[in-house]
Amino acid sequence: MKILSGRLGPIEIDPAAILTFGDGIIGFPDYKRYVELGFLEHSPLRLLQAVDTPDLGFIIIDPALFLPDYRVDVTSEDVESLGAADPSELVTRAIVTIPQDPYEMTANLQGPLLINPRTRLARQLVNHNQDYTTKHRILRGKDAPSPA
Amino acid sequence: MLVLTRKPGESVTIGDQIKLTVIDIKGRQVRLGIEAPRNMTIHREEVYARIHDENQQAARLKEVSMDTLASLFAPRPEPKKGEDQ
Repeated sequence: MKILSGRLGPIEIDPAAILTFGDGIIGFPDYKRYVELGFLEHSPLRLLQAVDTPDLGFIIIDPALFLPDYRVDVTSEDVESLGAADPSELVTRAIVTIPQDPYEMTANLQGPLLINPRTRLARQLVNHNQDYTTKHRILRGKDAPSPA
Repeated sequence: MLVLTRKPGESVTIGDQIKLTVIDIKGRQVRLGIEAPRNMTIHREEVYARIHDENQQAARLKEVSMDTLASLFAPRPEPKKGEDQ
């Protein structure tokens, strides 16, 4: 099926790849269907594009790439709500905020996204672990523009 | 807003399924125990508000310069062998 992305223009997507956020993403309860798309070569960043409006999208990243020991406190209720039998079935992504200087980009580790790749169900979680912030710096070191 | 006075150990019930208990009071901090159906999400308000605000900022993709972003991840040119020696 064809959808329109404000960032990428018209794109063809596989309907089977659509992720359903039952409650939407926090602050955007009206949009529940998203697709994950690559949009930048050589980059770990992906675009989470709303299927039902071109104007809503988020850049996301696998937090394990820059913080291997990142942990999300997942309850059995979270696991069940995504149709999973075990937390290990779930994939974690973090929403990235890109300020004017993209080098200062940050990941929201307090509100991670949990995705069940099998059922295509997803949700944004409030991570009760207070060690994590909504603005975790992704890139570090002046000459090392790679996840650190 | 309904305002009730409670002592430690006392509770307030909301509907049939929600019970709020004052566990302990220490100085300016109150510890609350909350019993509610498991499918009901409960958050510290300021944490939820922070995530809400961060999502709003993150969704402003129109302001992101893709060229600058791309340059951050552009592969560095492979140094050619035999040059600059």
